[in-house]
Amino acid sequence: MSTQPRRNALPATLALLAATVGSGFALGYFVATRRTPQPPPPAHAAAARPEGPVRVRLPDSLRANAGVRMQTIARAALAPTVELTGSVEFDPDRVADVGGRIPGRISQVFVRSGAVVRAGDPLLTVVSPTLGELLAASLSARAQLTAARTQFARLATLATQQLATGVELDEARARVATLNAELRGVDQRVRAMGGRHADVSHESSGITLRAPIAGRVVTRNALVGQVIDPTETMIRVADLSRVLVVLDAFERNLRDIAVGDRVSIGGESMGQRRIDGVVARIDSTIDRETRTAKVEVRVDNPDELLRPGQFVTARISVRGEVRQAIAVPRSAIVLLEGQPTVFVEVEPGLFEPRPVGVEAGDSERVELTRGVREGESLAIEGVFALKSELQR
Amino acid sequence: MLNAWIDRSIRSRYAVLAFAALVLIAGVFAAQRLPIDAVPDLTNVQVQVLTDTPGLTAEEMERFVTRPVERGLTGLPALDEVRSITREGTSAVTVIFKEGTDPWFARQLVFERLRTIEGEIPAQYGRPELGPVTTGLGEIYQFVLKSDRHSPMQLRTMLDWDIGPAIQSVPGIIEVNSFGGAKQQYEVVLDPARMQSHRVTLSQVFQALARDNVNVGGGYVERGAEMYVLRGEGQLRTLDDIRDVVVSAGRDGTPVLVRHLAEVRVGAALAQGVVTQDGRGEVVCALVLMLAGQNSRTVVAALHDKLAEVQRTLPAGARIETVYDRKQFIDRTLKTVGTNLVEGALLVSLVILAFLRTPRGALLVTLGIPFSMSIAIFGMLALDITGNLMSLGAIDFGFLVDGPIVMLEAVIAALAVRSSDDPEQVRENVRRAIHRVATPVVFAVAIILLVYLPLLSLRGVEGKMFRPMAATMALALGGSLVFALVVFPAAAVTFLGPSTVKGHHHSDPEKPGRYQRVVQWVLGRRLWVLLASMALALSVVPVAGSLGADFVPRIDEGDVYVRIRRIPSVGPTEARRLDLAAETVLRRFPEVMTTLGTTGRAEVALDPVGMDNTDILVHLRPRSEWRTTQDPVALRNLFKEAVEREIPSTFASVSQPIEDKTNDMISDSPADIAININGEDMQVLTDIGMRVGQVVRRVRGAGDVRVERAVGLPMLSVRVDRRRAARYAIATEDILGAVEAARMGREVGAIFEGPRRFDLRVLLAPGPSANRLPDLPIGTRDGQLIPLAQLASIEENEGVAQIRRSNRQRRISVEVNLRGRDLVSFVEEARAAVEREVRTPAGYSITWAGQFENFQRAQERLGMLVPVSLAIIVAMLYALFRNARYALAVFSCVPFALVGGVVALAVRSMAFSIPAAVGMIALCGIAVLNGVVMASEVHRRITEGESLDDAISHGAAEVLRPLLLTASVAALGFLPMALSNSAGSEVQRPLATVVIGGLVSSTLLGLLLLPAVLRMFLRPRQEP
Repeated sequence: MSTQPRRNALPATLALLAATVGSGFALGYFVATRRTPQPPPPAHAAAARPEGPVRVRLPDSLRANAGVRMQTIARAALAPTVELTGSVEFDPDRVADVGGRIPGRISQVFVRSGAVVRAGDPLLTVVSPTLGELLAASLSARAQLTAARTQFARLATLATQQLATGVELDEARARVATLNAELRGVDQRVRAMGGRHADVSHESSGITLRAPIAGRVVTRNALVGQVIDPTETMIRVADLSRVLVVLDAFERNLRDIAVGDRVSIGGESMGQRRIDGVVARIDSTIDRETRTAKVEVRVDNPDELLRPGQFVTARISVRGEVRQAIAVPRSAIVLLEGQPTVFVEVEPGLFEPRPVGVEAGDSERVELTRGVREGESLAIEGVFALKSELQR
Repeated sequence: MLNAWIDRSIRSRYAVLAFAALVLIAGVFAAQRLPIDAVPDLTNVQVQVLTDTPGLTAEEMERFVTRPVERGLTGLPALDEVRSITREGTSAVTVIFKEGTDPWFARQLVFERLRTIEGEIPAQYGRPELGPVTTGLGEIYQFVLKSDRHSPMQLRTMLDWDIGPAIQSVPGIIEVNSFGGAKQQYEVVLDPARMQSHRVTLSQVFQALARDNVNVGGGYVERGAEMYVLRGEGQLRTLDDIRDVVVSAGRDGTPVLVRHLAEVRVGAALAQGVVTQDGRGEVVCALVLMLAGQNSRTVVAALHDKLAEVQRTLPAGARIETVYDRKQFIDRTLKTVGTNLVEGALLVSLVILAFLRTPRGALLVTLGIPFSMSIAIFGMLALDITGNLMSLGAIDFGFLVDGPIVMLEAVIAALAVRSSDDPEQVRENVRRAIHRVATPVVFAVAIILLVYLPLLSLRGVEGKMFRPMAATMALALGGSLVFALVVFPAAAVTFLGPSTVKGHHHSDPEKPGRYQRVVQWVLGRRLWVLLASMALALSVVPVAGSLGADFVPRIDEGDVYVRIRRIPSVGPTEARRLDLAAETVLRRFPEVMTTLGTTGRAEVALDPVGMDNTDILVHLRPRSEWRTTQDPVALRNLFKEAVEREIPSTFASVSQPIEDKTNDMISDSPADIAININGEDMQVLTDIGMRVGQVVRRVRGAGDVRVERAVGLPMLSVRVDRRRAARYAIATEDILGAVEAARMGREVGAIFEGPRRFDLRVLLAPGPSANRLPDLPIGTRDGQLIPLAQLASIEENEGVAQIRRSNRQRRISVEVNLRGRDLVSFVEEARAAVEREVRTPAGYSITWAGQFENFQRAQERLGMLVPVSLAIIVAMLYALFRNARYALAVFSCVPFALVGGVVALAVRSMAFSIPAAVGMIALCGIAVLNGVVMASEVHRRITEGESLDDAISHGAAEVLRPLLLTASVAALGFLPMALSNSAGSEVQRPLATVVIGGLVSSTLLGLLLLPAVLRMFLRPRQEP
């Protein structure tokens, strides 16, 4: 009786043991082989990536914020430019220095610096002892001449009555001639002191200097009472409606520049305004110290925006090199894996990056030498968004 | 042995009761000292070495800083890994130590080495410094400073010099990291033309300003009996001081002053970061970091006080606006945990009261909860376990009172049957009743406790999350054991008497109840019942297979972190524009309260990122106000989709503040799979990465594949042509100085305004755009200005944006997220494909990492833990019964408990996660409780001479009540957690669901099945 149940119990016991242990390991296995989470599909189903050229799709929803602007590729006149720096100088034909030619003292100044003057306007009056002496000599010579002329006239009358001798008459004539010459000499000296544009005032023994050209008083070194030296410049009058811009051209720039090239001038004081000019002259030598050649640009400056001495930058449009080329804004080009690249829209919303050859263009545009064809549509703004999409 | 303890505690019951009271009081105090945070800290032990050298490229930075630092740090004891990220201007080396290393010791080790390393880094390339002692939980507070009357620069200065230091004085705050606005600096903006006319070179200006900005000490002089300290003051203080610095003697003896050459002004430093708010405009913000290991609850409270104080001292118009506050998250989770615990405790008490109808008894049993918790809190304090969602959130009070309930039930039964009015006799009856059930109950609880222990061996992230839980639960169960063995007997003897059970109608054991008849029916058809049950259990297996899996639970933090990555070449202006647009998109969601976008890096570059990285902190409204969806995960996905749909150049990933920070610090790629390519040449690495990307994209199931963009940072490289420079007698220093001064400015000293220190920098005017860089004027000694292009070649090329290194090798990663395919098979296929198609040159290797590593590790660990737990259970059962048949019979209940767990998960359509797995393991322990109690009763009756069938049917009936009671108490104790939907409940929900399901199934099946199993197992021996 005792063996029979045991025999019956054993399989059941074993079965249960197996079942429990088995289920335990089954649980262990279940835990160990759980599948991992499945993340939700990303918002951007990555564009199907066909073999061949890589393309990038810009969904319409992104387009507004990407700020993409397109341009159809076309040829345009492209003039390369050279940029140089330099400074504004006076036009030597339009500047005049006024100074006394005699030592003396300034008695009156008629202009302030910055004043606009016409040719012949009085600038200042100089009183000079030398002039006084000359004027005195001139008066005395004039008086003597008058006396001599009177004498000569009297002698001539007397001579007709045979009251004076021919010798006397000849002497008197000679004296008139001598005195006449003397007076002319003195007057010549007085005039020389004042110059062409001077009034000599006999009363004050002063001399008034006048503006030789129309323009603006740019320098006034004259003070009332100042003693002047004939070598000094007292007042500079300059006509600033035309100035010269002198640029320093480095050797590498010289091959591109020619007389007659159009130049656009900008400077810090001018903000966004630019003034045009023309290359007037190029130095035929190169300064050994600065390693530059001077390039003179004649610039009309009616508003007097350019001030002599001012630093400017000049953009020279290289003449004769204006060419028809595929010109695109600089903003169209990005570096992609070290290559300058543009994005061409091959069908709406689908862009293809094209490595391009870039040649210097003008200040805003560059020339594309390969990689694109005329008529293709090119992204000129928002290119960063396309690059980003490509590299996502 | 157990009974001897019970007797001892009954004998000295007043002392025991006093002890219990003491424990409860101490528990209250201990609870207040317990460090509280919302979530456990997952950060590993790490020390950061940060070096900041503005202007250096990533490759230079790596050569001069990162490599020497890494070299110097090798061979440290307990070192686990050294990795680094080097970017333009910044290097961050992270030294990771083995788990368990003391962080301060680790810092000490690194600091000692740093002294040597400093000698190897040329002085101009910066000085490495240790990063702040903080963890993934460190970023506790973030605010913006706003004002209608102050400029961004004034605000930034206010933040850096007034508010920051004030906040840093709060104990536990280690760093206040300012971000955005404009950092003030003193600028000398040189006019090249004026320098030319005065024939002054850049380096003369640099030298003059550096030379003239000093104070010196001259010792002392004696005057009479007194001593006067002699000092020379040359420190520059004001703009005019700077203007009057003599640069050169001048040609004609007239000194050339700085004012002749430059505009001197207060300006803003070149920004490294941009902060935008609400899509409206730029703001100034600060991030407050907490010292590692601090109690964030107290630190945040002190911070709030300090901020209120600081706010009062701010100038009119300026105000502090909170954008992130950890307190809110802590409060929310604590509320969740607290509500669940309180509701659980209430339910438990009510159930006991309803079943046993003895308020006094119910009170005694319920006291077991605070008692056990007090013990648990002592243990947590001793073991440095933080109170948080994981450690406190997953405690089931039902388990804690299982022992006392069974005991109370036995006592009531005994008192009801053997009514006596003699107090001595009553005490004796109580004692005997307790004796009768003590051993099985203690063993059953001990089994639950022991089952938790293997969880302590979990490693990695899941270990950091669940070890505190296992430890706390084990501690609490230990406490409940002490309560059941020591306190409850003493209390029962003292407070329970016949009056307690008055009106309590205990069923007559001799009269067969309904359940007893069921048992008898089952005993007759035991084989069928057994087979049916097994069939049922097997039928669940496919259900189990259909469950999804989600291994690391994501705790909802209430705030969202949208991390946006762009290609490395993005400029700050474009990044700012796109950020504002992205914020506008996010703010269209009605759930979004505020957004704060931070681009680039903060003052202390803890997170070495560039302008290509933007983090948008999205502060959400309370869940009750959500309209788009109620599911935080779904909302996060909507955020990502919306941003990526509308904002170009944007790759968004959505995370949460703590989660993101922690991932960053432990450098766990948040991607499913990270394929790391290790080697030396960045271009080769990138090429391999691209090829790997191509190959992996073709593997079925590859969703997002992202190849790290380490190269592709556009650079303008100025290479000095020494021969041309020599023709003009220009020193390379002058040319490079001009390049430096062009944008960033050369730092030549500092200007102090009281405690505020500002950089003094020399710049060249006007700052050139990229197109005009060739025209940058360089002055020669004799006063010429030569354009840069004449002296140097300027090349546009692409350089390295970022170098990541791991264990002294450069590395780039390809991140893969899966769609519609399971990880293991994908990795196998992708790996094979990569090995087949991508050839790596010598010196290059490919390693596979990512979350799948964690998954696999956790899977392996859990796969091992389950059998270990089962083995522990069997061993304990054998130790209890000293009889394999009993042990196995009881053990056979376990699979049926798991059945319920799996079904419950399936019914609630939850994924199988680590919390669920933990719940399963706990279930194994809980399931045997029923069996142990029933089998012990049967065993007792058999030894008392009852026939097997009688013993089984009577015994089963006898324990029906306590079993139903313990099971329903345990299930109800978890019910609030299982149903909770509030913040932080993500972790508890699966665990509670599994346990409740398992309890239901194991109780129902156990009550039917166990008698049958016992009958089958026990027949031979018991029928002599």
